[in-house]
Amino acid sequence: MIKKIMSFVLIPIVFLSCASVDQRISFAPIDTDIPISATKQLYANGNVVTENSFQKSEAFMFTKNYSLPMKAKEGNIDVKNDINSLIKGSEFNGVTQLKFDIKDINTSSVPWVAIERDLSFLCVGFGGLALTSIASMPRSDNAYLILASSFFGAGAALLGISFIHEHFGNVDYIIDISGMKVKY
Amino acid sequence: MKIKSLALLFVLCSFFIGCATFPSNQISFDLSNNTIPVMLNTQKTEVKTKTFSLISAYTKNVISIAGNKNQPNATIANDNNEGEPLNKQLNKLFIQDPKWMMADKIDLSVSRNFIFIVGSIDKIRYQTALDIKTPIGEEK
Repeated sequence: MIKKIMSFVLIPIVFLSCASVDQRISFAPIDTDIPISATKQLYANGNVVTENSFQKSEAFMFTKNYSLPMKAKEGNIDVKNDINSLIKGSEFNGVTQLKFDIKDINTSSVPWVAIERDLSFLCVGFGGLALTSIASMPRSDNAYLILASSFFGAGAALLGISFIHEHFGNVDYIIDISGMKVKY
Repeated sequence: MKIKSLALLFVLCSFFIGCATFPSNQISFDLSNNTIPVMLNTQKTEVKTKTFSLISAYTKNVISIAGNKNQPNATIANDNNEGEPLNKQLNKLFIQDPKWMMADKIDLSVSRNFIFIVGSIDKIRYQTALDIKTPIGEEK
């Protein structure tokens, strides 16, 4: 009997103690009026403009912090507006050596969801079993009843936290974007 | 299994959650040393183009097993780079260099699967995929 009850507790633990994230974010193409190149040269108006032909150049760098919900599958990092604001009102008319340096991707919500779920099922399982056993006794001690109820309550709270974590948690991306503003 | 072992496993998992080193060089998009212009904005062209796909990825697997009174907790970790960084792959792609190229797609993919029972299995994969469009024919 106990083995059957334990299998009812353990099977959900095995299946529900896993968590995952799988997402993709896009960077390109960047639709701007000015030419943007990832290398030191530009291709503009049908011609290759080399580094030596630039009249002026200036380095720039900014950090983009991007968050995507854990449940999301796709995202888009749009740097068009950032680049336009760098160029707007200046004498520069192109960008070269544009780099996306991925500094960090924080997926720590994923293991926490699994750990919280696992602990919640353990607490709910043991609390529930203890409550059932205590309830079936002719005379039960209040201290045991409180302890078992506390286990059950803590488990339910952890399950709620894991649900919130999974549905409202984010994957955080930190990306350094750098390049050269050029006048050609 | 002792409660102490489970607690230690929990600490081990927390350590790996917080202290994973990040493979910036492997998955970043940096083609600044390439000698051909790689444009990031859409290029309108009359000539035929061909698209090449390049992938650079990093995977990490960590398995932690809770011990007992005879055996301590154990952790096995391995990480692996799949493919060279994108700039090296791009340099090796052409025998005759085209006049220009266009990054048609740059995607960063992240996947992580974590299982926590009496031990834990953590599988992480970061991948950068680049689709390069290049003219073939007259413009070469």
